[in-house]
Amino acid sequence: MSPTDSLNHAVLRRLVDALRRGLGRLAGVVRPGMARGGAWAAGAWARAKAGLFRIPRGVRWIAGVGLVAAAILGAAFVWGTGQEWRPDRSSSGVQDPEVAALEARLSALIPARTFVVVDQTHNRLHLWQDRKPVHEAICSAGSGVVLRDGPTGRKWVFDTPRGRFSILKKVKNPVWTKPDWAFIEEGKRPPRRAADRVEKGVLGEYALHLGDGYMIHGTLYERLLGRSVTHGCIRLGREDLRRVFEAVDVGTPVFIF
Amino acid sequence: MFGNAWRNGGRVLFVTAFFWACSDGGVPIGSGNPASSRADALAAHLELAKEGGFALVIDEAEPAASLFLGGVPLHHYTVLAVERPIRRAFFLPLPSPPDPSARVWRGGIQDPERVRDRKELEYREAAAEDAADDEVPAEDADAAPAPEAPKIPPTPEEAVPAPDAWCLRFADGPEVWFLGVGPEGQGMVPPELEVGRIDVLRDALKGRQMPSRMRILMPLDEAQALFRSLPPDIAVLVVPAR
Repeated sequence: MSPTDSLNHAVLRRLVDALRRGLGRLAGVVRPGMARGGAWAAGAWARAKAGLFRIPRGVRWIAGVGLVAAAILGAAFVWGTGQEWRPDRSSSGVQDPEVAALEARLSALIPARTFVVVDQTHNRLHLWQDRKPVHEAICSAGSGVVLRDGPTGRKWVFDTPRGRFSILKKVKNPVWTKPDWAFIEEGKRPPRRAADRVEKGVLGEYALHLGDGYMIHGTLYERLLGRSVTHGCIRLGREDLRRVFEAVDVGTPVFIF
Repeated sequence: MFGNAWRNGGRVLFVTAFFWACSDGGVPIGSGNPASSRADALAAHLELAKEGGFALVIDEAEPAASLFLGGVPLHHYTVLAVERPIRRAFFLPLPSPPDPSARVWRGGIQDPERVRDRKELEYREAAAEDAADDEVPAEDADAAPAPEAPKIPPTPEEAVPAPDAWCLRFADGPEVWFLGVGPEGQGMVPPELEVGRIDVLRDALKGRQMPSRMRILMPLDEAQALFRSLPPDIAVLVVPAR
């Protein structure tokens, strides 16, 4: 054992001794106090049992009931108060004939003929036939870009409109007549000659006109399908466009949301 | 001293409390308007379909939320549960708010508001002069790249940020909450839906009418897709289960 260890050992022993002495003194104070308190409680209980101070029976009843009531109310507040969410699915399970008839009438509203649904949020086009979806295609809808022509003050918002449309015209090998915004966007002034606006091959093999310049057509950039990149038209890939073009007729409804 | 009184009083109160608690606060939901039924709601749906506008139909029986345009189903969104609040004070049911079902609600405000992150381009004369020297042909009717256009445009998810939980609020009508449930479970519950015991007790004591609310639990991506898809000023119809 080194001299340092010996010194530490001595200090530790003194500390332990001091702690023992302190605890002994504390016990000397606490033990008699506890004994006195216990004696008082025992005496009070004995006096109560002997009927030295008697509480009237009615008061005891009220006090007892009050204590139990308080306990129950507390429990009821904790377990019986609050808000909970529940589904309302209290169906009887029996099919009401009136309900069945109404559901049949609603189902009959779905067109039996071919129609097209365009979902801009997922950039998906669904082809429906015989009241069920038969084909799903990845498409591209409007970019939402705002284009302003400073000198003239004109403004275009490239959104795809929502609502019910119908196919007004089917065109094979369409030619695009570029509107003013197509030139403005390229930083050019729109040409005066109509012939300078014509561009071939950029709309793919087919175009389905929906009115107001909006179309379902093809694209040179199939890698961008699924993204919102157009000026409001609906773009499809080559094979999907062919499938849709063959399935629809002039007048086929197109629902865009 | 209190032995007998405690026991007798306890027995009486225990029996009373037992029957009280067993009475079940679950009053039939929607009892505020007993006339509403599934048949009424479907009839309203038929009328709505004839009008030809966009409608969101929430069917509590399936449960399902479907977007319609003039009776044509555009998209069915997956719904995990359609729930309504029940409030009880000391096991006693508090009066239900007016039943929102079987009635067409219009003019709802989407909260938070849907904001599309729009890129703005402006034509400048200088750009025209530069372009005169730069004879780049237009590539595509819809893909002619703008001078500052990013090479990879944003997806709809990137362009329209959507919250995990959102609400359709109708003036003098219900609040319809859509809560997205992700792989880790439901996200943060909006403060409007967090009603504590003290709030319920305070409303009960003051006789305050409980707001008409329902919450629709959906997979997170579906709740966000519906947020992005919902046309403005859409009609909403709740079809009850019974």
